[in-house]
Amino acid sequence: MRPVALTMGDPAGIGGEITLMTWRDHRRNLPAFVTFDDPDRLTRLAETTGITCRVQAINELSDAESVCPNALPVIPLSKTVNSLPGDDSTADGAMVIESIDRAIDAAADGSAAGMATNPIQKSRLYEAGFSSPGHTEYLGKRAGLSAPPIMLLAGPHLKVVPVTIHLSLKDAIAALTGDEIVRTLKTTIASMQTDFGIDRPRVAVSGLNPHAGESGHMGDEEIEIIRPAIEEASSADAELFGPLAGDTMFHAAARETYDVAVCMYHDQALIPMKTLDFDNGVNVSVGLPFVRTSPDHGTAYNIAGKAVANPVSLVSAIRMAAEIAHCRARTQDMDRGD
Amino acid sequence: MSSKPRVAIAIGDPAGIGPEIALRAAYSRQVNKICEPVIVGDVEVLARYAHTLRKQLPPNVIDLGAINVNFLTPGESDAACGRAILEYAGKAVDMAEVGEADAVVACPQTQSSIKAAGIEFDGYPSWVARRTGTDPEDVFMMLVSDRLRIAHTTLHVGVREALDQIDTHRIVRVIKATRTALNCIGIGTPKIAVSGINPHAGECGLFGTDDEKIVAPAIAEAQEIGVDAYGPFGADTMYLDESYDAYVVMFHDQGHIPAKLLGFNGTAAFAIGTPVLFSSVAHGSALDIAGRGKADPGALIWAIKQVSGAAVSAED
Repeated sequence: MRPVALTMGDPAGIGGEITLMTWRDHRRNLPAFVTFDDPDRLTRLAETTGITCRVQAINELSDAESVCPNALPVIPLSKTVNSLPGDDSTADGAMVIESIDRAIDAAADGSAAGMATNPIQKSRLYEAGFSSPGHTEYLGKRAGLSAPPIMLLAGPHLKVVPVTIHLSLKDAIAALTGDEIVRTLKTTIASMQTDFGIDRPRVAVSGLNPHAGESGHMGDEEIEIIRPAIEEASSADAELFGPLAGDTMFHAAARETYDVAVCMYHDQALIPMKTLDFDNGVNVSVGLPFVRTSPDHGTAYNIAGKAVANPVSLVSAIRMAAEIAHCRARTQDMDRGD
Repeated sequence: MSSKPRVAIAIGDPAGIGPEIALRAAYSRQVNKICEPVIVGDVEVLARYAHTLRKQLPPNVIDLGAINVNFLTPGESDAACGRAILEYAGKAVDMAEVGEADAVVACPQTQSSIKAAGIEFDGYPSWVARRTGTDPEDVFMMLVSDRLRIAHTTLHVGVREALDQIDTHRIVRVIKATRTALNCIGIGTPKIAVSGINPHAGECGLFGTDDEKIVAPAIAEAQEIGVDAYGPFGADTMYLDESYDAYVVMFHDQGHIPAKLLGFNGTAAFAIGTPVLFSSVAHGSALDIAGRGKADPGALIWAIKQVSGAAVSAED
């Protein structure tokens, strides 16, 4: 079976230790995985944090499956990585980017089932030539997409897609066009079908304004932009409804009426996600030709190196990457009529 | 007995579930244990709903005769109901201002009926401000659930307009009103978290500079006058730190989404920044089930408990 490829993430953050912990505590219940990192750094990190984890350098992704039960398989990066946990003074930006690039290559050429990325600190990468606002946009660029992939957050209680993500609220409102909402809805529907195996997904769409604008009393984006976009994206393959009030669409009974919620801006999507599924939310990049997931948290410098970080979101990300890859393969088989 | 706070319960929309839940709260043993409930409404209206509930009227009812019960159909709210809603709430607020009540809890209103009566109204908080002669700019809404107290810098306006309304001065005022309200409920030096405007509070300017330029200076100013305020924090992760006594958010959904997800026992909506302790109930008038004796008074009782604790603490 093809492994899930992990990236190093910011070496001053918690990515290294949650990778070690994932191997130590969860490898028996996970598909094989491999990380693109500096094996010596990980060995040192295992020693200083006291996380029992054997690290083994490998050359080929195909070796990962046989190595993973006995040691954490690591494909070495071209240079050493010297950052220490919690200390962001060393610029290892080039290696952070190399790790992402090589995982993309592996996921794209099919030698990996997909990729799961550890968190990065974008501002630390800009000096190394990284010019995207985040992982997701960078992956879209690398995949040659004209528009960035869509971010789906998935947890045990909720799947949610923000139409706009990492923009100031003012810019987010400006970016909220009918075309963008339609694209997001269509991509989300396609992902529910191919990535999650839901034939006729039910999609709940939020409004932008409080109470979804209350018939235009509190903003007109619902009437002018969102409702027409929902109509345009409607098809027999899916059940779309909205615009709904952001504050009432997430309670337990409401969540039972849909498979995925599409929200207009970051906080509207992320607040319910973090509230309901803080520990095990997974970020899935939807609309890419390859599978990419990531844990739904940041670099957490403040606790890095202390072995107190919770690896469960990374564990969920690895599992979900493998499940989506499996689901995609099955869909492709069906499309070929096998 | 006299040490118990008197809580004036305005019955809200007479065609909604307000009269029923007010009665049920007034009958409730737990409510009578913590306060002396006084229902402010119409005796005839209340008698009719009490009949549905097969109960007598409770002892403390202030009768305003605001509506002709012969023209009242439960579930069908109109302009007359709209006028009555504000008469009830107005009397209750007046009672609190002159010391005849220690706190006010207002049952759900129906905004369209108040508008139909030709009265300018955009929710209880700004209306309470006008009624008490407080600058409406100094009054804000704080949701109080069992786990969270969340004060809103902006409320029922479109996000675009909310962005225009938010400035440093306004944020300082909401932080101060939050501090005062928490003082009233017995928290001497509350620790207050303040959210950002943008995702991740702007993430060092990557997603807009509003948080550095508008929110951070407000927090600094609040700290200078002795408020224990922190932030700005990303609104999605702010609530995970439960060590704060209250959270101040910039927008409606930033506060209402978590309040509704985490407020298992109901939610009270305080109008903070006015001279009276005023709370409404964080659900609507539920016209669809009005008059059937099915309405759950849980959220109202929750609000009564919140203001009662508050009134008691303020007297201590």
